[in-house]
Amino acid sequence: MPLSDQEKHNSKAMETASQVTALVNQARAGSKSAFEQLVDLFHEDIFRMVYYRTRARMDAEDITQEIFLNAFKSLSKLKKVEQFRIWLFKIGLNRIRDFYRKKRVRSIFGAYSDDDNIDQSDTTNNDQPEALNNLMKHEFWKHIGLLLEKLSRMEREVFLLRFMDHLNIREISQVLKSSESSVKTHLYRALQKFRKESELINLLKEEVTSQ
Amino acid sequence: MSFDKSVHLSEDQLLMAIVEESDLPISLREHLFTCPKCRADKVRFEQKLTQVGRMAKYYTPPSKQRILLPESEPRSFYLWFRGQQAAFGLALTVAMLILVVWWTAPFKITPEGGVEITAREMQEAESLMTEISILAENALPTVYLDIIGESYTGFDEEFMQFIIPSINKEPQSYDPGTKGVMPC
Ligand SMILES: [Zn+2]
Repeated sequence: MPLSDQEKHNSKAMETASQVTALVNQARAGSKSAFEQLVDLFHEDIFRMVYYRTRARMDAEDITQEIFLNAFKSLSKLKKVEQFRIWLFKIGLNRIRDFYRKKRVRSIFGAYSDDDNIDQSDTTNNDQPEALNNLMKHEFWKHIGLLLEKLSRMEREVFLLRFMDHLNIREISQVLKSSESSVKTHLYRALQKFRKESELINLLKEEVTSQ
Repeated sequence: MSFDKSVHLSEDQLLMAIVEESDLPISLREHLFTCPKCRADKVRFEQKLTQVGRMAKYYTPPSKQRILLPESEPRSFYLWFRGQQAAFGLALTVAMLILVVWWTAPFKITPEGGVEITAREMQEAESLMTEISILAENALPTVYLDIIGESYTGFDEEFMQFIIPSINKEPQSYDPGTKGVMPC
């Protein structure tokens, strides 16, 4: 029986856990190359995590750069080296919060429009399979956006961290500095709302049958 | 089968099972474990959630930016200090040792003739202090003291008597102990 994404992720996480701890210790002792290896290990995860919340590639790239720079500069403040990944997510969520704060200020002064930065790449491609793919992509993000709009801030964050970033309940509670029972409650409420998103669920069904 | 087939898990109970199966009441957990329908419903819902994650990953463009780090290494003073703890400890011990020896035996470690040198230095210091005392009393040279009328200090007894008469036998003030003469 093939492993699910979650299972693959868990086994990968277990394999890399000790490697990560060793690299973090080396980086804390002053090794830049050890930190660069940590960047290689987590760059994709962190970039995706930011992209899910900004839906703009360039912004996601800039924020990802900031996250790693921040982590590099404040590595000595990390108390539990084994929680490096969780710590990156914490920094990430704070940077994303800052990004939206600045964006709100800029939009008040008319210097920023919400449509300016949403990823429009590839939408002008007329190649048929590519165009279909882009249409699916557009539909998927549109419906995810509609779902997330219906969730409270905490429900949204818990849902994203659990099903898109593949963190477990304990990890989510650490990232959000919240109790596990609170995380579960918000996740449950988010799932109740997800269940009602019939269009999104149909889209997932299509995708399941087409793959 | 020991469960009642007609009582399947409700949709909300299925969601609870997806969030954390171990949090379900034991009876529901047992039902879920043995009922193929409920099991299948749970798996189907979980697949949709897995699909959300899979599609999100698939529809995320790759990052084209390379992470740039500054040249300086993330080494805090605290970590640097921790790395040098042994050296610091040794240096501190040596310093303490020197201090203790210095304070307990000041003359033992002076070179030969150190006592005489110290005595001469003390004498010099004493004469310097005497000079300073004289200067403090008469800050100006004598010629300037003459000009400002401060050079004369030879006040005799008669002069002082004139300036401040001594208290003699005749009381000039109220003495509560004697019925006396009040001044006019
Ligand atoms: Zn059942």
